[in-house]
Amino acid sequence: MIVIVGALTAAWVSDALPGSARWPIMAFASTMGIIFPTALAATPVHPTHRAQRWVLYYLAATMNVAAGVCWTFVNETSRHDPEKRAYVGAMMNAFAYIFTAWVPIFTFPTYKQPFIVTGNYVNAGFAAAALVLSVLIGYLHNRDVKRKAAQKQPSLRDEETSSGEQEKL
Amino acid sequence: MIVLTTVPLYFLFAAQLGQTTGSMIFWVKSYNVKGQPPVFSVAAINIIPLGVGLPVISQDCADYRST
Repeated sequence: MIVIVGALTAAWVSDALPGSARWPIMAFASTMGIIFPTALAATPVHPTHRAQRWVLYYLAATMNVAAGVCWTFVNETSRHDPEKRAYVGAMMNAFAYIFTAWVPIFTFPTYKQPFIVTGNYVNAGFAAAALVLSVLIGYLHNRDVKRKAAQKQPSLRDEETSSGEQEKL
Repeated sequence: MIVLTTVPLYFLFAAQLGQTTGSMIFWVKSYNVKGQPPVFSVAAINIIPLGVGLPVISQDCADYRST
């Protein structure tokens, strides 16, 4: 229940943020992706209290809540260009599937399960890279939004002045 | 332009994180040792890790709302 509430809250928060910012949720999921795999790697596989690791596994699901927000970001930013949207969507799927097909062979080999240490640390590294990228996405997106706003303002002023002149005439 | 380059790369890294939670079923199963009484039943081994999948349901709800 906590996880359900958490994921729904993340989506609501994303919509409620100024400009419906998506990158903070992506950054949140990445941060969770650093914390929980590191915790799972650093703690015993069979602790005295079983619930300790159980809780870690369940809470680790919070690092997977950003997928929908990520797709929404792509759909929103390229909504005026269906070709670009389709291309980016295809690239996202291709990247994810191609790498997920072979990376786990080295990071999460089945014969070592559930005693995975290195793989969890590697995943924490992936999450760190994702965190850097999410911040970069936020920065670049805000820069683009500001540029577009700056481009629109002079044209609006021109329109206002031209309409004002017409009224005078 | 940023969407073309950074987002697929972000998605690539984020997609790998599911492996960590996918490990839970092996962890639950590992409590059952041959020659000793089982700690978890087969049904419990299959059902307990499904708790991790609950965010998927809420994620679908969230996607529906935000699109």
